[in-house]
Amino acid sequence: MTISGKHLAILAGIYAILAPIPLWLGEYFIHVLNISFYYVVMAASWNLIAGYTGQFSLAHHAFAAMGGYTSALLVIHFNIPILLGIPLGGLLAGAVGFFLGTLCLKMRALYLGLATWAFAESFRITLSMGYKLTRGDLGLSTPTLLDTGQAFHYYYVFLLLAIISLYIMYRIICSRIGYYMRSIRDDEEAALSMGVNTVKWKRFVFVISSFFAGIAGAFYGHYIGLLSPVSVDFNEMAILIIMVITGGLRTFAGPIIGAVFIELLSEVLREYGEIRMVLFALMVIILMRVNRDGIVGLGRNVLPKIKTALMRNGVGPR
Amino acid sequence: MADSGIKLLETENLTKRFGGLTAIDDLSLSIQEGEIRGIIGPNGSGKTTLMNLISGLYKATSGAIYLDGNRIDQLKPNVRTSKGIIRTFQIPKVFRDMTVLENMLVPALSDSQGDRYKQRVEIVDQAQELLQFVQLSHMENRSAKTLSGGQNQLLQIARGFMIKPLRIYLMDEPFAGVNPQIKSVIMESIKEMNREKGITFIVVSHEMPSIRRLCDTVTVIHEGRCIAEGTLEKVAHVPAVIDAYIGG
Repeated sequence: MTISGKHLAILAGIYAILAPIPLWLGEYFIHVLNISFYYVVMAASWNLIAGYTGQFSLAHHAFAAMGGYTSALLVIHFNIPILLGIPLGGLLAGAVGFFLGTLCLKMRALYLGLATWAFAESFRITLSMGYKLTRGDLGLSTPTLLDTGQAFHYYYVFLLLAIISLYIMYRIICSRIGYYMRSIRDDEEAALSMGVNTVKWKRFVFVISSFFAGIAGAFYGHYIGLLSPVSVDFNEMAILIIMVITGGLRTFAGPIIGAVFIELLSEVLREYGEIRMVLFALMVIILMRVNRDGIVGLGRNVLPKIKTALMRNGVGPR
Repeated sequence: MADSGIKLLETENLTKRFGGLTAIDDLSLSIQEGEIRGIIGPNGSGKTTLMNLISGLYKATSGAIYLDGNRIDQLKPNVRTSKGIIRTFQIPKVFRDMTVLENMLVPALSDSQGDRYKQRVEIVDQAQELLQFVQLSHMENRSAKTLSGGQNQLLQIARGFMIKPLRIYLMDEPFAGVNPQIKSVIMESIKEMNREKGITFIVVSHEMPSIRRLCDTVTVIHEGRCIAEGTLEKVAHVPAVIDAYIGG
């Protein structure tokens, strides 16, 4: 994959716009943004498999934890550099994604969801029980990526992680692989009959989305400094689904908008505790009923109407 | 284009069983290159199962399928597509959330095509030309889910023509549930592609007038077996065919 000068300029422009933001924010809000960027990568990579390919995997959060634990354990026990541990965490998550994808090749809809959920639960229980290695529910202290604990410095790490990951995903979606993914989602039998190697590309999407989840999870672990089986709780997966559906499943911008929106809203509603999940669930139900394309779809529907109304009232370009 | 006398596709003692049900029973067929072969038979006679076996969606219980004398029944559907076998479905299977033009691009961009198309622009030109051919060019940027049933049928037929090389086109009930105008477009597409590009067609249909206009030879299948073969006029007088259709 080559990067054209134009793309490089756009990416640099995005970075330049987002880079000064922490200068105006306090440490706590910068931390919230860092977590938002983590969720942007998680939501966008889940959208690759669920939104673009129609494979409703419920194990994405487990792959993030797998990447985090792999990197942390390698760094702790083998003393390898963190910057080597992170890609290794991603690779292991990708490899396991390959096997899970192969096992689930013929499963669809509910069955795929159940199988992947069962895998995630098994992994969570294994983490809890493997006390000697993972320290179980007490959590594993992980070395941090930077010497400083300041969220300000990590902001640039997570910003770069999000920009690079999203760019790669964007290129995949726009390439011929994107066509394969969408054709598999819309009708797998027809895609096969049109010459698409559906087995190969379903595996590929499982691998690539798990890889991104693993990488994001590894960065997260080396930022927070603690990993625990709680990160494989189904609530984590539910949050990812809520983010993608709120932003717009099957759209590129949807998971980005949804992840930032839900993470910020989650912080605003923090004082209400678990009731947040009820509110989010209600929001998803309403969105599914009113506007299945989420915020992006809402924008697509509403913006032209606003534009038309403005033009009718003599405002805006004629 | 009249058939060339060269055997393009053969099935040899082909059998497909689903548990205790034998859908295709020891069926041997021979299709000549350049032919438009009609496959007819009462409901449940095994016509669609035969399409699924040739296209690779089903694996045969026993028997063999040959293309150009080479056995293909062990190949996956997408590999068969790369060898020039394409199909349509009785209920049109289009990629609903993709635009009409994007639907056309999928086969050309697929693994089966390798580098047969040199550039993306060549693919788009070819797709637009074919959409014009089936009178769908005005809808190329619309989502496929907004198309009518007949337009979906046209789209899935046109989409198949994107495959290079296209040797055999399997059409499963292409005239079912479409209006006369669309039926006529489909008929013309088949005739022209057969005449101009030498594509061989196997058309499964209940529409006898269309089969009569298109096919020189028809094969009648009943209970998975071939019970007659020849011109439609000839097979219409075969007692086994009369029995199969009106019960005997």
